[in-house]
Amino acid sequence: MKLGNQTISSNQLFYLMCTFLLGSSVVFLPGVRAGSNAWLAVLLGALEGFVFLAIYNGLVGQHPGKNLIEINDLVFGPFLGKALSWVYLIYFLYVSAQLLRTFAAFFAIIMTSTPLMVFLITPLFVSSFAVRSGLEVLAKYSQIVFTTVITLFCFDFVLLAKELDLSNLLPFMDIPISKLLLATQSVAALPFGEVVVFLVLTNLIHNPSDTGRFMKKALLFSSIFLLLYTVRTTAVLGTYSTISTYPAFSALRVINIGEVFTRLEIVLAIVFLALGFVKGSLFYYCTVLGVAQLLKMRSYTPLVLPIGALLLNISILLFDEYIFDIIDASMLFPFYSLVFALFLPLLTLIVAKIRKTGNQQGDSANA
Amino acid sequence: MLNVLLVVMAYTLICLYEVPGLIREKSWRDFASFTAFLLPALILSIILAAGVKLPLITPAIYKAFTPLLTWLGII
Amino acid sequence: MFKVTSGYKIAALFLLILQLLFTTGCWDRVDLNNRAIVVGLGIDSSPYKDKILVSTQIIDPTNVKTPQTAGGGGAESFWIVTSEGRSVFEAIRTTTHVSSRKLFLPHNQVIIFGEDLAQEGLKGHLDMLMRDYEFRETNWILVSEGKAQDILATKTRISSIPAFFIRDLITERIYHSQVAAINIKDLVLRITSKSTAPIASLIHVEDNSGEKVLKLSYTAVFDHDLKMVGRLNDRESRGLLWVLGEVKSGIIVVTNPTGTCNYSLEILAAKRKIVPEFKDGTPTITVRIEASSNLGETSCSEDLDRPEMWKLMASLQNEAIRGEVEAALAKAQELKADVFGFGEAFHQKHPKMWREMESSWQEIFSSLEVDIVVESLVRRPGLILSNVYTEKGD
Repeated sequence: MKLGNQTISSNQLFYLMCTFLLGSSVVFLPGVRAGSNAWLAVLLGALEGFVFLAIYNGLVGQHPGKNLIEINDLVFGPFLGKALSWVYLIYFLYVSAQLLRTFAAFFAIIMTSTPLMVFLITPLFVSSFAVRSGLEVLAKYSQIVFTTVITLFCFDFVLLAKELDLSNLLPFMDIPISKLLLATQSVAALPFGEVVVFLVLTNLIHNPSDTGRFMKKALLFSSIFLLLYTVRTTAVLGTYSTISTYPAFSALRVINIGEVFTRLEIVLAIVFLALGFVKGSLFYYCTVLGVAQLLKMRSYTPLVLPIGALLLNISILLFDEYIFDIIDASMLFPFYSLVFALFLPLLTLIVAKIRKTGNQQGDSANA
Repeated sequence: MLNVLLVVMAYTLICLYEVPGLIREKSWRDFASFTAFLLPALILSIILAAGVKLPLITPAIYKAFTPLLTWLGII
Repeated sequence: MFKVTSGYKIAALFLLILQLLFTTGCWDRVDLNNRAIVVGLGIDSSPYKDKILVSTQIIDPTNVKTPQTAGGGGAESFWIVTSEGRSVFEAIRTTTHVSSRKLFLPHNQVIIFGEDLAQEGLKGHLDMLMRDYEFRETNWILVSEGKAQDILATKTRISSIPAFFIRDLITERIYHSQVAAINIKDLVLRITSKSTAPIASLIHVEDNSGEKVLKLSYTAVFDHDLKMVGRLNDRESRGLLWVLGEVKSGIIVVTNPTGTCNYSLEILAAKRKIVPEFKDGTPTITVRIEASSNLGETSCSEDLDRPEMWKLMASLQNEAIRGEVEAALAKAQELKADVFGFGEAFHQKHPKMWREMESSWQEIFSSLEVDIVVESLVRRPGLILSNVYTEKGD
């Protein structure tokens, strides 16, 4: 049963995943809590991300062409499997609400007198339109955005060259190890742990045997990019990044080339708008698709608006002081997301291995 | 009250957009799921629009995690 | 078929045009004719305790001089508004009592603190400059001798708006390299490093052949609470800039060994390297400076045909540079203010040892042993080789 009734190629999966992984991390510098060692946190976090991906690939390799919900059914039986799938979907709904709110809060910092509802409803409206149009549209959009964004960032790198001071990356390892681990974990959780949402899409990919390889490629590419990005921002801002709410935003604010190339931070705001849209829409899409699949609906489109409305309500109910968004991203999400990013998939994989469900040959090729 | 009215209007629009098609195609299962998700959302929205203060999610999670975070020495 | 598509096209076009209506703005839109563009900010202490005076320099669009109207005298193209408040933010907002337009800050160039306030400490007045998104991290921070208000109100030549004039004074300072300057971002780096002492340029009004002019000539030195503790004169400032690697150009005048005449050397390029080390357990710093210059002027009539003369100039230049750095170091050690960032160098290279030194760094710095190694070169003679009075022994 393919509710999405649209399939994407492995190549499109690559772009979709890269865009997804860069999504919110371009504004919230990953690993910023580790100060001058942020790059180390990103490196370790990316390694952890590869561990996550190995688990997901193990699951997909054993059940080629199936998605998370079907795998859960196969591995845990119809009752327990469905219950587990609902838990996942509630988590996806919650994360999409969170993304929406973070997105809105970023723009509300500058436009203080615009009501928050405007920043919530406008992207949600566009997003619901994208979700109705289906995965292929999102994938094609991400292809365009990805190319544009990479070009823009290369441009930024060149413009910031004058401001780079690599001594800002020193001292090496002077923070307590617990702090570094927390920063690592927060990078691993956001964005790498969120890749778990792609498990809902694995039945929509043309060539299931390629899925694992392309996901690995996307993860590798994004982690290298995020690493460079972190090094650049830390080298420009130094310790300023530790007090800044949006470090990457502040880094671009210092560009001033002959009083002509200034105020380039707006570029980042647009990039965030474009990338965050993919990430939010993908979570939204996966929630809707999963629910429709669980309820055995003919089509997922009637669910788009009701779930969108629910999403809006949840995102309003998340918090009213912005500090909780920061607390959540830096101390809470890294822990509770582990349940969904690591423990549950790992448990599923172990049980699947014991019960020998699915196709055992695909195992060696993709794991 | 104006807010509540706006909310009801928005939800009516959603219904007008989706329901006729569902009834025409007689997809009752889809219609049931649609209602099952729209109704709670509507109730929640009306409560919020009426200005009722509901407990917030992230602060609650923070409270729940405080012992763990204190034990780990993060806060 | 054709008709359907053309109707579709018209509908699409109509929708696109309709979108224009929505691009005009939103709640936070402020039209240009409702904005008062602020280019300079002066912050002074107020006679009332717990209050501060904030002077804003606003461009007066009704009096901006175009080439056609210039030279006709008349009103200034800027307007100074001073208002009082318990915080910078309150004072800026209070300005709206007298200004018909709300202040617009993104084009602000310089932020000047009055000397009184600087001596009391600027700690409490910086936050808004970083928190508010309207201020840019590239704003220059200065300290004025006397009131900041008076600096902003001084009429300037060449550039009719003082804030732009001051900004240009700062960017053009590379041609003498005798004043250090700092923007918000670098100030934050100095404050957050905890060991490095913040600095800022000092500006004052000077009488120059009967006309009041703004002059940038000293560097203010702060302690960690941003209390101004002292100043470096032009020579010491350049000593500081040598160590920071910020010397871009400038003139070094050296006297020849007999003391009868001098050479003016124009700095072309300079590099520096700071090496923190532990010699028998005591921290020492080695500063290596490499510089090159051109011979710009001389009053000596020695024959410059001989390479020894160029070596001599280079060695004189070495001593001059070393002298400047030593002067800066002596002053900084006297003030117990690590303006050079030596502490940060230890922090970066020896983080473990640093943890033990950190708390007593001020004391360690005030008696820190610093080796200054200068290597320099005088490269080119300009259009003539020897002085015109040189007697050729042919």
